[in-house]
Amino acid sequence: MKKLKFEKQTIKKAVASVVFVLLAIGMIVLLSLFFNEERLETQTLKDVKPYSVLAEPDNTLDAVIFGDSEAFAAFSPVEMYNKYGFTSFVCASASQYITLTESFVRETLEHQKPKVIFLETNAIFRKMNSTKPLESAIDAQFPVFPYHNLWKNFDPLNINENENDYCFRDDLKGFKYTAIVNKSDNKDYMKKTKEKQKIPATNTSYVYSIYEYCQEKGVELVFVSAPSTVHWNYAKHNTIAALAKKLGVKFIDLNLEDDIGINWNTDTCDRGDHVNYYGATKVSAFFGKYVHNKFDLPDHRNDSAYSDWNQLKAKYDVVTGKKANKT
Amino acid sequence: MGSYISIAYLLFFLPITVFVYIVMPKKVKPFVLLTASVVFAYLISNFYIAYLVITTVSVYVAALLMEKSKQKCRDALPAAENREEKKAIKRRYASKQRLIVVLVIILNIGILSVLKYSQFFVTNINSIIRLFDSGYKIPLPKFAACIGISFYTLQAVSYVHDVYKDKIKADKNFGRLALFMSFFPIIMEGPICRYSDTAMALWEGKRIDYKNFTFGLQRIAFGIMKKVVAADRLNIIVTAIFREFEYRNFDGGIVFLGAVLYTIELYMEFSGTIDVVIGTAEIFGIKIPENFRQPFFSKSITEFWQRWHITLGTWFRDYIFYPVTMSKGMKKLTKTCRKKLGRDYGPMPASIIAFFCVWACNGLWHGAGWEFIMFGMYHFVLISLGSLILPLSNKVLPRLHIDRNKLPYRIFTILRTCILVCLGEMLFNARGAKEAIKMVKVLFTKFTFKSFFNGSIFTIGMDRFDYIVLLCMVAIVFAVGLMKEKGISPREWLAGKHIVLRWSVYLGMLLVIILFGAYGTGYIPINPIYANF
Repeated sequence: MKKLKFEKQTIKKAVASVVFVLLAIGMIVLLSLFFNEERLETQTLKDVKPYSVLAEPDNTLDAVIFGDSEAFAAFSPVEMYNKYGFTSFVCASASQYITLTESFVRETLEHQKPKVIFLETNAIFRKMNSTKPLESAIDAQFPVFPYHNLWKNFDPLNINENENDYCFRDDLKGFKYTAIVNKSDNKDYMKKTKEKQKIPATNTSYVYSIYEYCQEKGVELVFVSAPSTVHWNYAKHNTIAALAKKLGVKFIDLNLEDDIGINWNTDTCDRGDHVNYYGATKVSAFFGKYVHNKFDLPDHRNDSAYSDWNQLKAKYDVVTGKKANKT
Repeated sequence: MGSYISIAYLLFFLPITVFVYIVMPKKVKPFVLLTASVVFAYLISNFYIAYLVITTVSVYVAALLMEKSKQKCRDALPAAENREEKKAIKRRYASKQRLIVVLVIILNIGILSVLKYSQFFVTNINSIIRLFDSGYKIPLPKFAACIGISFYTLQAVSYVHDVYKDKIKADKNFGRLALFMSFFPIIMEGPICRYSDTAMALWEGKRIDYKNFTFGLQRIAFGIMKKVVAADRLNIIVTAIFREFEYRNFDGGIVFLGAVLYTIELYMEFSGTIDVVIGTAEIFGIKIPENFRQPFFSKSITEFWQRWHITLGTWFRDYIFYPVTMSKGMKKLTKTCRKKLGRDYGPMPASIIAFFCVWACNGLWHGAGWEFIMFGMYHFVLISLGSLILPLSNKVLPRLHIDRNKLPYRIFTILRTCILVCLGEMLFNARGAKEAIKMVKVLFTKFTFKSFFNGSIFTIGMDRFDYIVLLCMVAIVFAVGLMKEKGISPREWLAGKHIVLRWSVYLGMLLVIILFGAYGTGYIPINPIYANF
């Protein structure tokens, strides 16, 4: 009798545990119905800059740059547009893993048909936890995990009153402005060597996946390395150069381009880790010219369909302090 | 696997270990824990796990040698013909035991010092050499240490010391001692356990029961919530304030905000991880000592350190403070001072010397840098001042008709302690001693709340929504703390409620973690802060 009672209790607890787990999974599934990419397209988070690439009207971008903080610090699409008239966007986030880059490439190319996409190469070397691919798979199944921050959009009380609202298109097009100057003493970081720095094995498969997806979509993939005395060196350059050769893609290493004129005393905000606004202006001028010359992208500056891009300059000048904010 | 709050640990390592533990017979269960601990140590430290092996073997052998010597002494005593001879035999064996304990402590503290402090030591020597313009520079040594070395070394020292002092018997079971030294939930960030409290329970191979299992999971969930919702959310703003202080020209208000937010971040991260640690052990039916007891309810800095990182505090009390104050020299000093300064102030010089030793070690334990020594000295000064002022305030307060037990006075002392703690943590997190001094200067010379009113504080890494989430999280932790202060166990309290309420709370916790957690794109999770100590 006692044994029977014990067994009954055990079964009851086991059933309760299963029901609880099912309820938890049900809750995650339900949340995923509300927090997903569809909602994001119209309501983009300001503080999660890379997602705002999805808020751009379909098929309006001529080039997209993917990567981590090196990318959003170095490339200013507005500067490049003002000078050469092609539209671009920097879809990048801090410490981005290549798994996320791959999913951004896929999501972006669902909505945009750029002629070329650039992959900033620093993220290729970022070592991932062995569980990162699993995390990506979970994210794909349950969108609430990658898009959970959309709760900030539900703002009936207008709490973030002084901020621009969250349903916005990024006026800086993914570029992150900072005018902080914090010099680098490591100016001699590109010492020639024949050595190569190894790319973690799982990362390589994601680069291949990006390459194959670009092929499928008919978009050219180009590797680009933004200037960084902290994260870049010649061994990394050799590795990416070899990979580019193997895949038959172009590779431009901005760390070797003296014509950019980076001054590491004034053009970095964090001792050479990233370039600041002054560095980004130089990089964007050089890189814009390179893209303009190599890829024959259209000039939209006189195109009324791109009037919103033509209005960005004034806003950009306010953000970058070139013009006082009258509002 | 870099943290307990990771997919690798929570979805793979822990469930697999629990499953294997459940299916194995009682006798094999301790070996499951030992194997899991060795695997975990290897995963986090790679081959540097060798240091852990050296420490474990050394204390195992040393304790057995001491035990053997004690036995020999006991055997030899009956043969002694008089008291003098007995004393001589005891002295002979005691000195041998002392030699063993001293050697093994020197070995282990030596390993810790070389791995952790040699760079700091050489950097300082180079600074002195530079003063003489000799151009000579000692190359900086580079060592990699086993993760958690500062924690398990203290456990090792406490074990041999307790065997030496006859508080515990030397363990002949190497597996049990190895498990005590390496138990996977505690190896990275503590708590620092004592052999007498933990070792036997670890080796018992208890059955996992429903209550321990569910209570353990609840504690783990609460820890994850603290870390992911609060600490990781604060990482961006705290990093911005402390790392960009030098060139962003922050005012004193922002610096103060940074000090407060860093203190909250540190507490949420460390206590959150400890919740996961204790919750994990609880699943296996093992009671690990608490490391926090609502520290922000403290009315003095002394009390704060009795509630914050408790196991480190008690370690320093038992193995540094007491031995120093009870040493012959200090006893003599106290005796002399009592005659000259009276009963109240007489014992203070000895206590202050002991406090100095404790806080110098405490500062250095947290890291090799002058800012850590400064952090230790800051608390040494506060605690010493507290002891000096106490007899005086005991006389003055009643005359001013101030009742220590009245709520307003208690709130005042709690707030005072919180502010002093925040300032201490600011020194602790600054980028070096020079930067710490600069921050203090800005705090007192450029203090203004302008940034709070013009919205600047919403542009450094947290917007208004983030502040609201943070405040809610702090309120939840405060409410749980308040319940504990009143002697109510929140989990026991909840367990007595209707299933709808209980499950709503559990699912609510999950919801909060999923929706309000600071994870994914745009966030960089904070590394386990204490794992680096």
